Amino acid sequence: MKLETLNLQNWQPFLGRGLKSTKITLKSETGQKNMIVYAENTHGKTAIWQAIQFGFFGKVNKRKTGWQEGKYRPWIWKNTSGEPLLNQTANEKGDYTFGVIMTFNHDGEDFTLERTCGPRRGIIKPKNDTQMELEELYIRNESEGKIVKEPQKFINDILPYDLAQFFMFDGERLDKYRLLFEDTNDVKLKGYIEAILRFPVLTDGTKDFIDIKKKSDKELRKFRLRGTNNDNLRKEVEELESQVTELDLVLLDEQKTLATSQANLQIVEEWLKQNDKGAEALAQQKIFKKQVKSLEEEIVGFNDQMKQQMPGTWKTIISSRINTRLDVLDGEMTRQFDETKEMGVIEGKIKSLNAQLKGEKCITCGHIHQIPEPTEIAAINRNIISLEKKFVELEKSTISPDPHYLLSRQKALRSMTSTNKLDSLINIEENIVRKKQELRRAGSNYEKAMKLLSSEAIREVQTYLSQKKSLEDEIAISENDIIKLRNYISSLESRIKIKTENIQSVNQTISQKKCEKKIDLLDNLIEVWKKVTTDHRETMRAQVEKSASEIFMSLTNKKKTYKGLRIHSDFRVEILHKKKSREAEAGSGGQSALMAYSILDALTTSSGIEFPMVVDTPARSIDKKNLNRLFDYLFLDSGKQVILLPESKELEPEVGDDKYGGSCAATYEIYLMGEHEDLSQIKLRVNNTGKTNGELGYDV
Amino acid sequence: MMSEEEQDSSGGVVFCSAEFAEKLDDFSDLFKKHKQPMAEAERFAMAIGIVKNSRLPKDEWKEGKKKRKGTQGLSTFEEGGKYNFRILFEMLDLWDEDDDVSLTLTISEYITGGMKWLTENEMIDGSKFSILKEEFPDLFLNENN
Repeated sequence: MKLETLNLQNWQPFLGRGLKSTKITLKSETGQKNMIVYAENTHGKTAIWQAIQFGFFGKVNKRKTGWQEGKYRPWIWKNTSGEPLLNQTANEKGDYTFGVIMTFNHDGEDFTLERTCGPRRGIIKPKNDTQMELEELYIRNESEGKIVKEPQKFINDILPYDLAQFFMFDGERLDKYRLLFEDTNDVKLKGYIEAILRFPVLTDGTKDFIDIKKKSDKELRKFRLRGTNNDNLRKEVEELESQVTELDLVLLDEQKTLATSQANLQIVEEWLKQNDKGAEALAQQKIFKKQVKSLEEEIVGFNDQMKQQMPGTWKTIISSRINTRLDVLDGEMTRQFDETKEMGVIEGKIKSLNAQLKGEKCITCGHIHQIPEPTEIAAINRNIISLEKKFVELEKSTISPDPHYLLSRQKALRSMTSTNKLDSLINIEENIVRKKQELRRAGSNYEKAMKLLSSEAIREVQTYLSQKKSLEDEIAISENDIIKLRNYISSLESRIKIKTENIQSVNQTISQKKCEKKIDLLDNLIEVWKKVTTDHRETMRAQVEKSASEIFMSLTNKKKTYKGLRIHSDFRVEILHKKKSREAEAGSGGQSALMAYSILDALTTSSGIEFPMVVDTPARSIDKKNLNRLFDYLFLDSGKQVILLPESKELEPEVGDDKYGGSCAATYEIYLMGEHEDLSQIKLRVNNTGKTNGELGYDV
Repeated sequence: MMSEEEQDSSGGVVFCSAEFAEKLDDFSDLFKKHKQPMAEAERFAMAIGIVKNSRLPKDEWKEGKKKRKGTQGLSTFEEGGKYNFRILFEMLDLWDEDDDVSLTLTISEYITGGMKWLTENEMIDGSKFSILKEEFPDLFLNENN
């Protein structure tokens, strides 16, 4: 398909319809088919992109949600903040009809398409979408002069809505495409890729053959059972078949449930991706909340330890004071003990001296003393008197103070001392202080995360996360049930097969023989079809890989570093490094963006679908040098019809016209209308259409 | 009529001034693992009052929001004979039988003095015990050991 003209009727910032509508031409008598529409941000270039989407599919996604189902822009709104499709000035002037008229050529035939939206019958002044209605799509085959029946089906056959994202893409969302190619868990994308490469035709074919064979097997069993007289066997097989039929229905239901859950999960995951900041804040909030809880628990634990330590600490505190007194007490008691010992010694000495005086046996060595001389006796007596005096002194001293008094005080004081130190108390206190600081930080972080999210947003994210969890659970249960059901059905079918395969019909009817032949044929067909599918998958993969690699290598500025792209069987894509030592990698932002463009281009080429490449804000994530290569490729080498909607910083109008104007039917520039910031108008820059500016509806 | 401190048969009652009643209440939370948290908190305050020599005579006590706290008989304060504070106070020369003030009031004055010091040093919630290390290094292991 080649787009030829685009006519905007009260479409977004472009006011006017009928004769006053905004007209854009992409048809050239000299064969140029491309178009560039230059515009600064917010001037209305995305409105052009969206006009094409609306024309073909009747809905326009909100830009931030990409191609997500269910997130569409309103037709009418009270002001421009709701981003309505109806021009706001037209709305204020009471003209509520808007739409798009396009002409295009498909398979050599010219078509006119009209998609219009206006007030419902009986509504004079619509206020919201419920008071508006989309008129039935109108497509006329101009070459045959016929109105196309089932016009939406006609468009969907050319390009299904789901696959349009590969042809009409937004540079601002290029990252999403890159992630899709790097994340093979995205089942939906894998489905799209397979769809664009026509795999479903083959896989559906295999499934169709298997279904037909199943029916034929059943038919053959009937023939065989007819030929037997074994009523019991017939009854048994019929019962088993009835069970299989019932279980097939249950399986079908379960598969539908699974498909619904998977589709819902995709929507929820996409929503969460779009609201990743909210989800991130919520996740952070959860982490901080957990941290706060854990720190609070730790603090409680340390406080508990402190409470274990505190009893008895008062003894440690006064121990040094008590010990000073205990030292005094101990000194006294030692003195008394020493003096008591000395008394014993004195007592012994007195006894020995007395034995000496009496000439008795020595009390220590046992020898007999000689009776002392009179002079010696006086000296011994003096000695005894002196020792007895000392003994009496000591006797007094050993009971002063009263040893019981000293002992009781010593015991009392010792009960109030402790040898423990308070270091562990300080350690615990330091831990508490540290944890309290961490708690303050975590609390502050929690508050910050809270501020990022309004309570409404928190509830919304939580709801989606909870939905995601329950959908994942549902899917796991469904998948498990499906496996069990399949296994059970398979075991029943095996039983039926065993019971029926040995039935020998005496007289085979022609119908039975035909049925057996049909089954043989189907067996062969299934095998062949499976092989064709596998071969096709590999061929297409290799084709996309080759084509994408060539495009990538022609685009990248790192030709010495990279040698191409590798596309795995699951369509995961990697950039291949020339040095063997370096593993294949996903690539930097710019290289990954080029990779995404290369894959998109290769996929659309390999698909065989002919449709314009409509690229809005192409330069996100790509540097100037690579971007110039990308433009060169798109306009000069891709062979596709390219509709480019760049900002001037991505492609200066003068430069673009100079380099690519020759390959374009026309180039345009969007301006804001001076006094109306919400209104835009288009100026024709390069005109290769073969018609004059005036004929195209532009100022000469 | 006998004063409250004379009522206990074993030697009157010990207590803390009303000024620090609330603080003592809070402080006793740190001694929850002990069977007598309030008495243990008072013993801690008393120990501090002794080592800091910060006895606060009763005539200097101020009124507080709450009534005086931790009132208990001496025998209870001594855990039924486990400790003997008469000996302690006598041996540390903090009280003498011939003094005009009873032993229990003396103890109470040391408890109140200790509570004042603990309050002034913000140690009631157990978060500033490191001050003890600065004040009484001998209560801690020598870091060089």
